[in-house]
Amino acid sequence: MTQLLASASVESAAPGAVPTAPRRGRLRRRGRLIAIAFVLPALAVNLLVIGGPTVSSIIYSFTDWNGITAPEFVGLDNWVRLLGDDTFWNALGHNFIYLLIFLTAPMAMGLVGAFMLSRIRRGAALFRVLFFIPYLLVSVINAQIWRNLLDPELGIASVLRGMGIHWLDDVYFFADKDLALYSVAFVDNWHFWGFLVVLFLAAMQGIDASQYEAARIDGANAWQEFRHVVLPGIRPTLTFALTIIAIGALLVYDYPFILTAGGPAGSSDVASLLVNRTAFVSREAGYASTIALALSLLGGVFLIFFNILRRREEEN
Amino acid sequence: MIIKNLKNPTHRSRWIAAIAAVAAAPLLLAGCTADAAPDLPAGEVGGKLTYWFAMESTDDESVAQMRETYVDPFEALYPNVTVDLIPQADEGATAKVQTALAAGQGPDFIETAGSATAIPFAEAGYLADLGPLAEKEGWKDTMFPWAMDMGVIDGKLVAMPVTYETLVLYYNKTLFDEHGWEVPTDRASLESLAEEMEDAGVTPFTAGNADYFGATEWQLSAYLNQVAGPGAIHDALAGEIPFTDDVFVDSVQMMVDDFQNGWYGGGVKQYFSTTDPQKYAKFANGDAGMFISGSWELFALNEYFGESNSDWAWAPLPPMASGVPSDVCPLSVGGTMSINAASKNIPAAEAYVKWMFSDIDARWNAIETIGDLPLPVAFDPADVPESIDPRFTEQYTAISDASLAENVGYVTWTSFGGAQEAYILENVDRLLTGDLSAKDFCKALDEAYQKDAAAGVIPPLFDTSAR
Repeated sequence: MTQLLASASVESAAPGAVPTAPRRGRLRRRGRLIAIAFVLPALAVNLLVIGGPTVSSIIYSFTDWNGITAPEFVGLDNWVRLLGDDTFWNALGHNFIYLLIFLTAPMAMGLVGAFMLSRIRRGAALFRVLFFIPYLLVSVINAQIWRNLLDPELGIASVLRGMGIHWLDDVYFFADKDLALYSVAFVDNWHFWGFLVVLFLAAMQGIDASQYEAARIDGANAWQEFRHVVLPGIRPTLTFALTIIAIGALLVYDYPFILTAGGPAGSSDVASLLVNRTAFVSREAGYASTIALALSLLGGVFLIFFNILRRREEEN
Repeated sequence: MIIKNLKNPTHRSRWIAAIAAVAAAPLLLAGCTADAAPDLPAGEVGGKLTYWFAMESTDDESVAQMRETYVDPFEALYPNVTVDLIPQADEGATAKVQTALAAGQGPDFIETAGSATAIPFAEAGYLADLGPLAEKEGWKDTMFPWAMDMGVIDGKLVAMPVTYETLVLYYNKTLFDEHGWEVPTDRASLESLAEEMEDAGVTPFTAGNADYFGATEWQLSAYLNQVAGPGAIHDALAGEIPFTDDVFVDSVQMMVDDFQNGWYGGGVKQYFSTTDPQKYAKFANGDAGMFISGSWELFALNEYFGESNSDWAWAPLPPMASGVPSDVCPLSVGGTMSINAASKNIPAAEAYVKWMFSDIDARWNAIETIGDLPLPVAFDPADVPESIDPRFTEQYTAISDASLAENVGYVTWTSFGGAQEAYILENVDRLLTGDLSAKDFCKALDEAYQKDAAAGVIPPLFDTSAR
């Protein structure tokens, strides 16, 4: 509003202004007001569905609310408890392991897959669809497929056993506390990496063809082309992928919930599962709000970090 | 400004109209949403009831069956009442009700998993007092004393237990007959039987928690009753002995040892990996010999044993320490039903609860058709329809007898407070993986008890003579 007034006064006072300037200013103001009017409904919905719960979560994080009876203010008790809560740190640690896995495996697979597809002339569309199909499947179905495949009695292990191969006889992918988290991440990765392939492929196709030609004329091999043409060319998309992976790894819920429910013995527990259990099993909605808020703060840090990264890319 | 404008007749009429509209809005809205009983002759009830029914499967066939069982007979009796049965997925059903109530909405009936869950709802004033109805209907004479006790929160009867179960030892009768095995009656006979079974390539107990991670709690409750005994559990819940007492540490340690020795499902990893269908199939086809679980298994067992053409039987949990009595029935409440205190149709809601606890034939029909469990009401075995599996009748007769003789025990999900229950669910599997010692588990269990006691959220404690 202040900006609008300032610009209006500058325009009206400008001695060298063309005669249509005041009219243009009015039109501009009107245009801005119309734009604001278009934004207002979405803003109102956001305030209602995001702003309201956010404010109430902040308030509840300082209470002992059980989700049912009237809450009582407990000051910083929940935050102090959070700092010493092994269950929370265990779950959050798993979120970071998840993040590390997703920053490496699917990113690498997505980049390689997209680069290979970008070099295929025939059947590219077919491969694109094939890679993307797992992403279109509902997580419950994906999870069930892999649960059956990796079941020691019914899945691949059983088939191998039938062939006299006993490599997987004592491997309990979702029931071994040393394997459960990685197995869950593997299944989630299988569903997710096709999306990255399609995303990176679209970005690669946006690179000016002359850059590829120049590289080939200079005698660059495939790896050099990938490193010096493709990677710099899709940097904004890479930053976007990193952002959604970071936030996704922090908020991951469905696959751990369906495959292991965070078990065995908390070995595949993640923070979102803990929030749910704390609110609805332990009936500590106040403390669950504290955990959720801590996650949101962490998500905010990620967003700021990647935003800085994105701005630097834009400046470059 | 408003006062000034009101002096103008035009403005005044507009403001009066606006105020009238605002004042009328709640009434209009109430007209849309409230289920006011229509004008009816005295003594009759009418109107609409909203019932959020938690179900394992909400497909059309299951919902229709549920309607036939739980709505049609009631509506036939009370033709002026319409029950709007809204199926809810079991998972998170209580959380939905909780959210709706917090928003000032919610169904006419509030169902919970047990007294421990009902307590905060009662404290928030969401549950109507059923005391006068109970007195009028004489429920004290028909219901089991422990069931009535469990529904009383802060001196008022607000949550009626709607199902009850016990923990027992199921065994594959065909397998036992083949090998000439006897049902164990104490720790020594159980150890000897487990050894014989393992020698024969049979896993002593079928077990698995891949489909329900809280299943280990069933085993924990069994061991607490079998080793520490109901008397010790009662005294700990009454605050007379701590949960750090050796009897509890020994109970937990024995469970852990048995798991780690491969008695349950063949090993800890196998236990975490086994799904419900695999668990039942192994038991039915003789890969495993026994199964410790609750009365709720009766229908699943019939399905799997029917397929494998073998037979199952049950026995009380064997006592596993000296001084622990036999034939004890640890009591579990599968769920409670309350009336929403803010219900707009309390008379019809009371009529429904009254019907539920009086139409015993409808309940037997529900047991037979949809695998429901009995109400905690004393019954004569002679009145049980012939079509009901005799093993079912036998088991529930045993619970009934034990209830009347107070030869009962306690299970964690029914008799323990919210903090204890949450701690158990969160940590019991860490005992099995060796990440938590029995001593530390019991210490934390005691701390959770103190928290529950301070918050006044320990479910009403019924008596036991099983000492």
